[in-house]
Amino acid sequence: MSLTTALNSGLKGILAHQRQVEVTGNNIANVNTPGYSRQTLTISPSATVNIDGLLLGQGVDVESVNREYDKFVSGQLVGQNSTLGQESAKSAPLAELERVLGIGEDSLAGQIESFFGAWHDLSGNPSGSVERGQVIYKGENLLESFSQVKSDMVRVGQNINDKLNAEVGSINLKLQEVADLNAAIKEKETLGHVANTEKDRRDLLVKELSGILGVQTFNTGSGQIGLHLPGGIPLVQGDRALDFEAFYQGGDLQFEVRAGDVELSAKRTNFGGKFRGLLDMRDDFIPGLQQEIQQLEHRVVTEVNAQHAAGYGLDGETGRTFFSQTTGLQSETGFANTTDHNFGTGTIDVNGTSVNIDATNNSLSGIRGAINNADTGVVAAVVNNGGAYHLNLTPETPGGAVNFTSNLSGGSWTFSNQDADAELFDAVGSEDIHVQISDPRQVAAAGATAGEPGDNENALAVYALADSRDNPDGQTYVENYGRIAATVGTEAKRNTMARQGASDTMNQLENLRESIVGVSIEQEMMNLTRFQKGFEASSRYVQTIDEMMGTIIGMKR
Amino acid sequence: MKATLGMNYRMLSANLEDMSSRLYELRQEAASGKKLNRPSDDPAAIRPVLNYRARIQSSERYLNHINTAGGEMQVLDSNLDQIENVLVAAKETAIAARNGAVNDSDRQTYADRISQLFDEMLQAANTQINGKSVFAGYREDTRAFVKNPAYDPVAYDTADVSTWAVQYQGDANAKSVEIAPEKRVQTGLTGNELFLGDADNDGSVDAGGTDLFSALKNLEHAIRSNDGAGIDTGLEQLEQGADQVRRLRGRMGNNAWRIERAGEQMSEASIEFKEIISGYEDADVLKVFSRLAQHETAFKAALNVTTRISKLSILDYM
Repeated sequence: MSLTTALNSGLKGILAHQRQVEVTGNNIANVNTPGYSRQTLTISPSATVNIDGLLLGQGVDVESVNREYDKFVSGQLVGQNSTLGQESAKSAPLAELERVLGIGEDSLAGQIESFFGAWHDLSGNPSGSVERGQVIYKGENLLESFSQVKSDMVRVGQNINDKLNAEVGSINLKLQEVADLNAAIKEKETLGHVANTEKDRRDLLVKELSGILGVQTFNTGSGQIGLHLPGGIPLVQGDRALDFEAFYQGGDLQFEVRAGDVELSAKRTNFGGKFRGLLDMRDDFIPGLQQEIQQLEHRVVTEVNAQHAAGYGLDGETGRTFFSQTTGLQSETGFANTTDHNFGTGTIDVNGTSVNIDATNNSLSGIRGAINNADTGVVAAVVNNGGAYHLNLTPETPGGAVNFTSNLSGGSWTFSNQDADAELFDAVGSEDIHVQISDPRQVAAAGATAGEPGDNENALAVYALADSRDNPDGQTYVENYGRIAATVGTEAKRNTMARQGASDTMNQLENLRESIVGVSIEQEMMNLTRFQKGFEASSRYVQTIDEMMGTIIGMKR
Repeated sequence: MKATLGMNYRMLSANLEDMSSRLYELRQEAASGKKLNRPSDDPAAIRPVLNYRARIQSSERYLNHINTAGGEMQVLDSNLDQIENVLVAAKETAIAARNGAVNDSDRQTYADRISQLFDEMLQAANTQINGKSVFAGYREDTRAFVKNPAYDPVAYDTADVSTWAVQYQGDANAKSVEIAPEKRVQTGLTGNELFLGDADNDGSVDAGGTDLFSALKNLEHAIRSNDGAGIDTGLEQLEQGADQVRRLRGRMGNNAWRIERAGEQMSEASIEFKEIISGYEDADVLKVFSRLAQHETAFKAALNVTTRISKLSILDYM
């Protein structure tokens, strides 16, 4: 081996250590970069050369910069972030709902109690105009509370729509970036390079998208990945990102993925992550609560009305309802349940708007949803009249028209035509149920025929409704409300625990990832020292060779 | 496995976050004194809390009704006392008038005295509390009794209401108070039962009943016309009438006692309900404060660790 070759291997040593120091420096620089995987320099001894029968090494070769990577942990992180996103997203709406359906003394339960309390007070002084006035006033308060709760729940739903809408722009940017990174990685890998930075960045994006949409990945070769929603709807294919679009339909935000001319509609169950959490709230949990609250209001209104109509006012009149009622807007016959697909298919005509009913939504609750989603100016609700379910249609604006014609065919259940005016639903009634009694004298406290001022029997009978469990659930009004509030409470408690659990798991996984691929300052500093020493030694070696060459050259003077 | 700085800080921030949210909850409990602030604090407690809260309010209303009824019954009792006194006075007057030594002008005086007593009783029968007739049943806005201008002592017939001394304008529904759910106690008497001995208000004096007004009017007529047998009948009727009043007064006294007992029970129950609700709702202050102190210490320790980590660096040793 000549001294020149030795000089060369010394140079290789210097260069290799310089690279090592550079890679270490890069690691230290990225110690706090999210998603960064520690990089290492792969080096190997240079090929040996046979010199006079001796196999001598020729220094060191630098091969490539690699990132440390754990496929399993990365996959776990993506999956777990979806769960965390789903549970975290539910927290804010649930906290709102907990406030709306509170349990304080000013809650709906308090208003119900105070309304029936007014009847109780009236029974103590049935001719008192103050007590009579209180009954009317508390009745108005009760309805006000009901509509406050209902509109608050609608507002929670609208907030969810706003939140979802705000995400759409950044989702599309992220999808596009994943597609661009796919293209860059493919290009680099074709040229034999290692695309560490791009892959780190892409992993981070996938993790974020998983938290938002619950995306899943699959390898498509050449280092590229495809992204799709849990339901299989594609989002990124190779270097092409599909358009994720949001639009309002029937008052709610709907989503679709557009691939050229093809539109794929993305439903609640197609999502994971934040979207799934928020959509679960908007499309499943809140409508359930609204249904229960409407049911409760319906029960209070109809039962109080029936009892009130049985009594007599101070003016001797009987048969008056206390609250205005929307009985004319109900279907004439009851149905056994809300979920069986027993209606036919076809269209329902509501106020001139045609609503399509197919085999997937021809149940009572499906028809309610279809009417509410179509912009008909009518709010549909399913109510239970002590056994049978009815479809209740009310105009969105008080006093508005409700015209309903069913063109469904082929089902075992039909909306029968029994009404006097040959329309299934009367167009009378107005959306806001109000206290129909305006004059305190009309309050029917008396139970005897003459309507004497001292007669408190009907007031007591109305008050007794508050303790009555004579209904399908076997619960009083307050208990019924308590159950609704408990539903929210239980869900919020479950959510808190699930969110805490998911967040703990996420932290553990992040730490696991960090312990495998993360940058440790201690480790890097030790390496830095090590590589510095190596660099110094290599330099000293070159210096030694240089001196040796000097010695040889100095032999001839 | 290596422990990086990032891991340390993530662990610390997760723990600090956790502890500060627990501290927030404890502080809220300590400040509000309630452990049930939101439905999620204890979903199982919601139903009993709402139920007992409703029952506390209803027992307070029951107590109000009971107190009002108690006051009304005291007024009723003093009315009944007055009526009894009228009957006693009438009896004394009748006995004096029965004496053979009484002359005509004395008899007229005695008869006038009975007539005054009649008016006194009519006044008592038309007593009003807060503008409401006490003895008119549910028709509390009308005068219970009006004099019958066509009254004729000779034509008096117990089975014909139009011949009676007064006409009853109320109805036969006695006032009652609900002292507990579905439990009612009669707190008032109707004029027809008390004064006319006609409990079913069918316009005919019941067997064993006495029409007090007509008895007084008939007595007055008997004294005026010096009808000894008539005075004797009148005395007998007054005795029967006093019995009728005493019987009903006893019944009302018994009812008043029941109402008072119900009130006591209701306030005891209300206190019990409040205790039960407090068990669900109210924070155990001692427990909360000791837990608060415990968590604050833990929080301080965690903050301490944070500063120590930032002080310790490999760079100081190289």
